[in-house]
Amino acid sequence: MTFLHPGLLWALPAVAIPILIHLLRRRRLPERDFAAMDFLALAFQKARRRILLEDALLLALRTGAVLFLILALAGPRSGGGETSSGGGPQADVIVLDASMSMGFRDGNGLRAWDAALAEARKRLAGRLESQGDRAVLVRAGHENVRLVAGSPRVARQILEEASDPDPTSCGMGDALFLAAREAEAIARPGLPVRITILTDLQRATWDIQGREGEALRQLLESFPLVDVVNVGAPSRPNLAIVHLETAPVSPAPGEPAQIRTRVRNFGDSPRTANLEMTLDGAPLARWDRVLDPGEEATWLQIVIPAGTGPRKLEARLQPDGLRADDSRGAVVVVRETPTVILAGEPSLPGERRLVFETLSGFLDLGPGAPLDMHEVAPSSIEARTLEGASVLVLADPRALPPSSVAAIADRVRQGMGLLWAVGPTTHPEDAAPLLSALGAGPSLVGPVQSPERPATLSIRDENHPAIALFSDPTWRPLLEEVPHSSFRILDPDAAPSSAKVPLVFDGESAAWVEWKEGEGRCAVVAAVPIPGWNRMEEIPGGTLPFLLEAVTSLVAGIPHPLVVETGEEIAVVLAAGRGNIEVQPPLGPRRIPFAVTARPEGGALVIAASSALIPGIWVVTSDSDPLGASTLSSTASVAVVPPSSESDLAAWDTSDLVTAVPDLALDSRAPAQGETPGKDLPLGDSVFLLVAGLLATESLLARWLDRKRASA
Amino acid sequence: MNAPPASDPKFLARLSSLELRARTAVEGLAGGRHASRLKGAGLTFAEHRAYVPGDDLRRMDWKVAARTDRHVIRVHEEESSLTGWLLVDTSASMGFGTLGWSKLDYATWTAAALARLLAMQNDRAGLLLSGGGDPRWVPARSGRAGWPALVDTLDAAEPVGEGDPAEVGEAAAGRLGRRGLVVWLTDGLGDPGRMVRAASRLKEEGHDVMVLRILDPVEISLSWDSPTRFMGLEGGGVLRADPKAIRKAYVETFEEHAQTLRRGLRELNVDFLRMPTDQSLEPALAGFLANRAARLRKAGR
Repeated sequence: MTFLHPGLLWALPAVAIPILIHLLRRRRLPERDFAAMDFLALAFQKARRRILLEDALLLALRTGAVLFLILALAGPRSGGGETSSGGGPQADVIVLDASMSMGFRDGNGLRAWDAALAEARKRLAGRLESQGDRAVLVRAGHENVRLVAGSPRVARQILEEASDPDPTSCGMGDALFLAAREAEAIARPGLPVRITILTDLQRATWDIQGREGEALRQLLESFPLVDVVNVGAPSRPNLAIVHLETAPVSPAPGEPAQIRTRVRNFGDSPRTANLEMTLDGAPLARWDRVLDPGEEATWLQIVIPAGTGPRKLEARLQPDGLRADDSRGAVVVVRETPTVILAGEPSLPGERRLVFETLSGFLDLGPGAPLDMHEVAPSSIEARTLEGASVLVLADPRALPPSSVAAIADRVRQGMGLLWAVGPTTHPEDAAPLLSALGAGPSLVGPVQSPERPATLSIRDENHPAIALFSDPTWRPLLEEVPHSSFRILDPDAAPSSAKVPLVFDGESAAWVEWKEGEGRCAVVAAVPIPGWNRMEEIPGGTLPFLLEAVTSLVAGIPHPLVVETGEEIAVVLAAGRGNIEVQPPLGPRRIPFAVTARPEGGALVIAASSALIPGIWVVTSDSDPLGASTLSSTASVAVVPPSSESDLAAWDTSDLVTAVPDLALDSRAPAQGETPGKDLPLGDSVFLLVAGLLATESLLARWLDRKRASA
Repeated sequence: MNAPPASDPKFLARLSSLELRARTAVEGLAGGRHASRLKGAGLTFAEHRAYVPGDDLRRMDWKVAARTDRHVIRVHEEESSLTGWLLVDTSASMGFGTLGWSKLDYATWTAAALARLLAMQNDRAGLLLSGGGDPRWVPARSGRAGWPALVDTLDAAEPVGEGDPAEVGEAAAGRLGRRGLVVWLTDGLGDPGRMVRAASRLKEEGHDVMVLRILDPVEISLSWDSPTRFMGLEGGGVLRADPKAIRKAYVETFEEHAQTLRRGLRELNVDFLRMPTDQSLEPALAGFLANRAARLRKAGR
């Protein structure tokens, strides 16, 4: 056999690659601590001979596939020449895709972005303004920007100094319309306009049946010379952290927060994800996991942060082709232990136990508990009593003095939560003054119902923070199987229009009505443990968590989002200060400018930083007045995260684009200078078939072994 | 009520402190009545309740049945002065866990819940932690007085040291004083013969012994799928292996060992319970209550 490219036979030592990969994988296996090592060693000894045989067979198939691939590639080939462009002045409009995916590096460390810049330089090489040549550069990134219009020399300079692609997606359709407008502006008779689009053809960027396809068609109607050059690497493996969140977002000191990290393998071969998590820069945990192509895995980690205030959480993968999605930040705000005031009257001697006693019994958890509870008599509630209280729990109080009503309503508007547990001694006429002070009508608390068959609770709002635990099918029966022989009905129509009803009796009557009054949240709840009225006290292990979640759900939350996508505005609400504001972005590859605005709103300051283009944790600080009475913080942290759509590097095949826009001229890959595009390889076809056969056999054998081992 | 047990570890892991976990698990077992004491077959009459199948017919109040045509059970406050010893293996292997909590976490939850049961009944509860280093003792004290020290010690327990699980039993033998009920929480990953001998010594000293073998589900089934470098938590070196390829042999080896241990302990009449860490604490708590009742009957109460 003779070879047209015998030089390629030097690649024959590459047959050792599968063996090297096998050995390297053995060295780079994920590490796991294990307790029952003695059993493992014994089992390994028993199975060793069989495993060696199976592995040797697989290795032989893989080595054979590589050997025959090299032979096929070394077969006869025919070359082709580059087409040359004609003479005369030329106008070039070049659109640079500057979305995050363009930062992907191929096996040689070259980014798609670098390839795009090189191709743009090549297309502008030799163009002279004095000969009538013109150049326009459009950058399609976080915003679509015309970088230059006119001089090819300036355009070349700008290409030399071009900044990195943005860690955002881009609006390619709008960029194409901008390019069309620019092309129209420079077009004149005798000056042909060639539009070149340098992109990685990512499916997330190109809606070829939608906006981008339409923009291309419109471009072609006016300018017949449109090239779409795919500068993306042929193989685009990428592991990405696509999600990082904590639940709860704002735990109390000592309360476990569950960190949920989702990692996805966007490539077409299995990859090992080595994840590391840090809290305030200190290592927290590590996790290794092999991910199949397209697989998304979730890493659950529990953390119990100490202290109070915002904490920086960061998850990091080993760097791969696309660095921007290899780390992701989140903010965990550890709040103060909520102070809860429980107000109610104990039952008189000989009376049945009332709401106050049952709530007191459940919520008074002693030192170290997630609630700091204090009890007061309802008649002694005044502004001073409620100072610093996070939530007031009114346990079925009888009439409240007018001064108490005013004090409660004031504090609620400032952010205190109110849980009003309604029971037998809550009379509608006594409840009316406080209800109207909180924006509700007097008929909200209705008469006692005693149905013939006991009513049961059902969940209407699965996402309510106090009920989320019970929306799990395992725990749902805890709430839904409690018979209520008597209860007061609530009328949500009497509450403000924004009111919600998270729980109902028998799927009908409201058992819980909740609304917002000023900064605080008010909840009137008829589903509370009352001996003789219902059997909530007997829920095994359920009543205590239910009440804890109900009370803590009313603690004022953080008044601004803790996570935004790159390119969006960071807006935080802080305590009003004297005027000095500092916005500290995370360390990025380069400082990217952003604008800061601040406006007072009530007793707070709303600070906004536009175009947050550096992923990571941003810290905003205002010099709040230490003597001020605001309960708001003077520092806020916000996590800026890249869009996960950019991590999916799946690209269109150029033929797909031609099908959608038939008149298009396409380069599947910009040829490097001096490179000649290859043609079909007829003599190599049979060897390619052999390679395909070997790979198919290897795949079938590997799958059969996998299934056999899994069934064991 | 068709509700899941409050002692489900998935649920307990969400709670913030060991004390709260113990309370929740025990209150779930006791029917959720806040601060209620367990009621049983003591001397002081507490209340009547409706008869349910399985109740001891000797406790049926026939006078009430004759008078009202309703079958009710007489419930009494339990009174005792039983001593319960909780032996917790804290060797490094107990630090293993794949569910977000380790075997030691699960052991401490169970031990704290058992101590809570003992405290609620005014029994004496003592604790021994041992894992290869110097054992840590919390002397047996009765009622709620001893509960905080016991919980604090359990809360501070760390999985360190290389030691055979039998060591905690050996450390206890000859030092537990009056006869009582010994609950031994361990993963049992060691010499089964040595563990059986240690249990035998405790039995010879007159204790009723209950072994709770705490295992992570992965240890039982080796359910990992990807090739891995396994690092021994207590020596054992490093082993590279594909879990799928050796799973069958591993499970056989593991179950042979488990069978040997179970058989040895059963021959001594020692109660043995395997507790995977993804399962409810309830079987352990219920088994403990049954043992306690048997112990009290044996003592002639």
